[in-house]
Amino acid sequence: MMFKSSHSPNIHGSNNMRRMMLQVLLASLPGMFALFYFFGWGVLINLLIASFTALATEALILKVRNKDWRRELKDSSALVTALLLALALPPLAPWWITVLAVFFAIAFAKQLYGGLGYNPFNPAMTGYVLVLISFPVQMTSWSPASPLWESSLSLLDTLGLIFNGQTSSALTVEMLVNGFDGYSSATPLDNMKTQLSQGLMPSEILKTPLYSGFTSLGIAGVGWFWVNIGFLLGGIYLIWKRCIAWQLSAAMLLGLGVIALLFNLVAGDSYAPPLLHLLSGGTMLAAFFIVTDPVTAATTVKGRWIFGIGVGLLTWIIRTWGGYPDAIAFAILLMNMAAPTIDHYTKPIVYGQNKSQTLEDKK
Amino acid sequence: MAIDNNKLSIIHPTHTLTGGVHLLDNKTQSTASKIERCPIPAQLMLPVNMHNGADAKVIVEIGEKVTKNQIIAEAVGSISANIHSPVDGSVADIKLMPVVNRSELEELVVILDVDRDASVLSIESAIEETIESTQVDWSGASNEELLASIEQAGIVGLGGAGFPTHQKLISSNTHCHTLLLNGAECEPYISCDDILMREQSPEILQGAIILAQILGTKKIQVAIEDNKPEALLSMQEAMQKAMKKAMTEVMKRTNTESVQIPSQTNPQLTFELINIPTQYPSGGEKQLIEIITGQQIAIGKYPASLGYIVQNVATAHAIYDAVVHQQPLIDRIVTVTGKAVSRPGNYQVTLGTSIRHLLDFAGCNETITKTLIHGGPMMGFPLASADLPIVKSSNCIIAATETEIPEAESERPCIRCGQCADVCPASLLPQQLFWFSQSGELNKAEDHNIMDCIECGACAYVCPSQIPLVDYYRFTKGEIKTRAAITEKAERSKVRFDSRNERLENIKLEKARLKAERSRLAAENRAKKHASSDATANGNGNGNGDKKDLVAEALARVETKKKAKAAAQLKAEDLEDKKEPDNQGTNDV
Repeated sequence: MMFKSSHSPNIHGSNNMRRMMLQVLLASLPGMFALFYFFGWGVLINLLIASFTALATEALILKVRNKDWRRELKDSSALVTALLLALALPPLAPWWITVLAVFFAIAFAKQLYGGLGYNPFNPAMTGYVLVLISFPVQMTSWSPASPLWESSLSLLDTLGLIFNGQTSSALTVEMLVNGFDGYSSATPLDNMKTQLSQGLMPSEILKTPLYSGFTSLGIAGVGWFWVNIGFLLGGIYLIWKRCIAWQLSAAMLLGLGVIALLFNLVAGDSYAPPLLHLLSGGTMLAAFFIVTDPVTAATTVKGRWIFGIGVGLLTWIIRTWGGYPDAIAFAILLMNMAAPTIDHYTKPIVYGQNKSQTLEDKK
Repeated sequence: MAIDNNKLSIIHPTHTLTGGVHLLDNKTQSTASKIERCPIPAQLMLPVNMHNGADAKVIVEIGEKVTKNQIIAEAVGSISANIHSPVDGSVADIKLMPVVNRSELEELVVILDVDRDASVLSIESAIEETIESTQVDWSGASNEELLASIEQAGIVGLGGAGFPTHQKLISSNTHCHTLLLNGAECEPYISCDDILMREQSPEILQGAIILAQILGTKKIQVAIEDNKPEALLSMQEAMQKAMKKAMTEVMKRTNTESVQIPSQTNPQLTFELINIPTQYPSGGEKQLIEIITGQQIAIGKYPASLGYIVQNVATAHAIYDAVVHQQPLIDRIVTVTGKAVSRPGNYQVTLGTSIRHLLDFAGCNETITKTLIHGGPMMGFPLASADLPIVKSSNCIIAATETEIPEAESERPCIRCGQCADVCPASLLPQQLFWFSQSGELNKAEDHNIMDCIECGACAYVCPSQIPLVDYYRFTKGEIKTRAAITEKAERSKVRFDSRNERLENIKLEKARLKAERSRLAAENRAKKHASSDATANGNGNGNGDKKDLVAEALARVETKKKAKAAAQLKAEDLEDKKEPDNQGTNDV
């Protein structure tokens, strides 16, 4: 009788890609819950739309490419892209924005490059940037967090807004977000930027309702503070489970935090404090769920630090001097471009290349 | 198990190996019982290559009677090893057949018919051996004699690599201060070294002392992973005894003022027992030295560069047998384990025994055996059939069921997660090496130090995409070696071509020189003749002119003849030179 052949090593650890992807989905729950709590049903509806689009697009293209789509879909990587986009897009964005972003992410940024593992750019961020540039109005229509609302939207109204552009009482997204006392459609980062340009000091701005109250402790935007804390918790879980390279997250937070602190120390009147940067917008989501995408980040240990710090610095630079209030997507795509070069110049020292000291050397 | 630290201090190194993985031991299944002798089957199959190096040359003929311990195949060159007949019997056949190796290539095998009652006899003699009745006093032996008996006994590294031991000793002979006995046994399932250390630690230590004597090392270190407390205790006792013996020798010397103490108990010899944390692959030579010293062996160097020589504990035991009992390497301890085996354990197996015979003896249910592995689960390789012989490097046979070693999941694309790099003990970038291997970029793979990969398999073990990374690396390494061979050949051709050009150039120069010489001589002659004719036949100008013409004509004739000859010679040389480059061309294609 013939025995089965196998590869050496003949045994394999419990680790597999599906498990890693499912851990990512699990780790996103605290942040997702915070988003749901402060921004309503839109987050969950977006997630459903995004997931469906992602799976359908991936299956379709895999089929066109003559791949075993049933097997390949199992790795859940498309779901992770869908999840990240659903968490990044405004909760009340029209359905076609989500569909377009996810379709572009899967079809163009991922599959056209050869599928999982071969894409140079982070698919979710590529899709996000596409819709951000093409549809700035819809993409900046964030509703304020729920404590700032007089009444939050019901599930039906949210569905109406997303699919039909208006609620049952014929209110549109613009009418809704503009109805709120002057801070309409402004995320904390956006608002901070506008106010700073009008000569206000950060300490004054942080006293306004958008930042104060129990939900933000006066250091970051209402709601956003907890969303970021949620993603931070999920990120710590992922590091504990060794699903992500902690150096990437730490480096990005360090890069962003240090430059924000330096400028805030030197000129505290015109630059936002570091904690606002760290706990607003998509910072924590990016640090633990997006920057850490291994396919598009640098892979050497030293390279991961350079990559992460680069993302952090670029984020702060674009947020502060650029045209977009939150700049993480651009920062990540720019660093994606640099990743192969970073890897090339950060090869580790192999065993016996440096540490070694022979007897002859000693003599 | 409590270990008495007062006896001989146990060192816990503070350094760790780079990377590494923690694996499920799966060793207890085979350590519950003592070493058992596997009966000798009716026929033995002895491959002429059971080691790392050149095939041994068969020196027996079909039908010839052989006696136990007789050499049946002789080492060829320095990196090779003798093969002995483990039994009294006769040569049944010498033929090519499949043996245990990764490539599944056939090799020359000597097949022995075992004398009917030899198997019974050999069990009895094995028992006698353990009584140590035939002990030889080696204390007076010179290093050369000791080395010769190791070489004679056909001993190779028994940890799995199979490198001829005497050769390793010779090449490390310079300035080694420490003999490191490797009892790490870091691969799961394997327990043959563990059980050997538990049961025969004094013999192992004796072997080590012999080795230290040959090498002139001052220190013997024994490194054992901390998942083998029994082995550690046993080695500790043996070392303690050896130290005591050495102390009494010193006492004796001071009392009796004896001129020479037996080298067997070199009082300067110090012992160290090192308990290293269980982590794969701590048993790799380079890794073990990194754990113990915190230093790395420079690329392309050997442990000797740090003053170390590493030997497996089973090799030390074989050396003890060879020197003290004059017993060549004709059997070894093999771990037989896996869920398909009903009596897993360690068996003393005669080399050449078929694996099927051994499995039957260990109670293996072959119908539920799905995978049969030679060696450990990490670096061992699967066997297609059980009808292959146990060889010198066979440390473990795993008969695994379907659930034990499940079918490998299908390979998925690399997502560059870098977990492979985190566990790589050589600090390589496995994900990049994979990329280069896939695209056949040999230069880049070499640039990323693929040749320093020790093929431990830690990367493939943790890979979430289930990529058989080591297979890719082996292939690429092979390609690089082939390319290097071709480059070397081309280099040789170039050297040949250059020297040919030089030769032709020299011939040309030589010819020019001869020509110049001749014309000089001719001119001189002419001048002489001219002078003489001037003196003798003054006024006969015309006659002189005719003579001159005649001489010139004759010279021209000689010149053309010589030219033709040289041309013919050149042509012949041309043809000769062309032959080889032509071959080169076809080989390249």
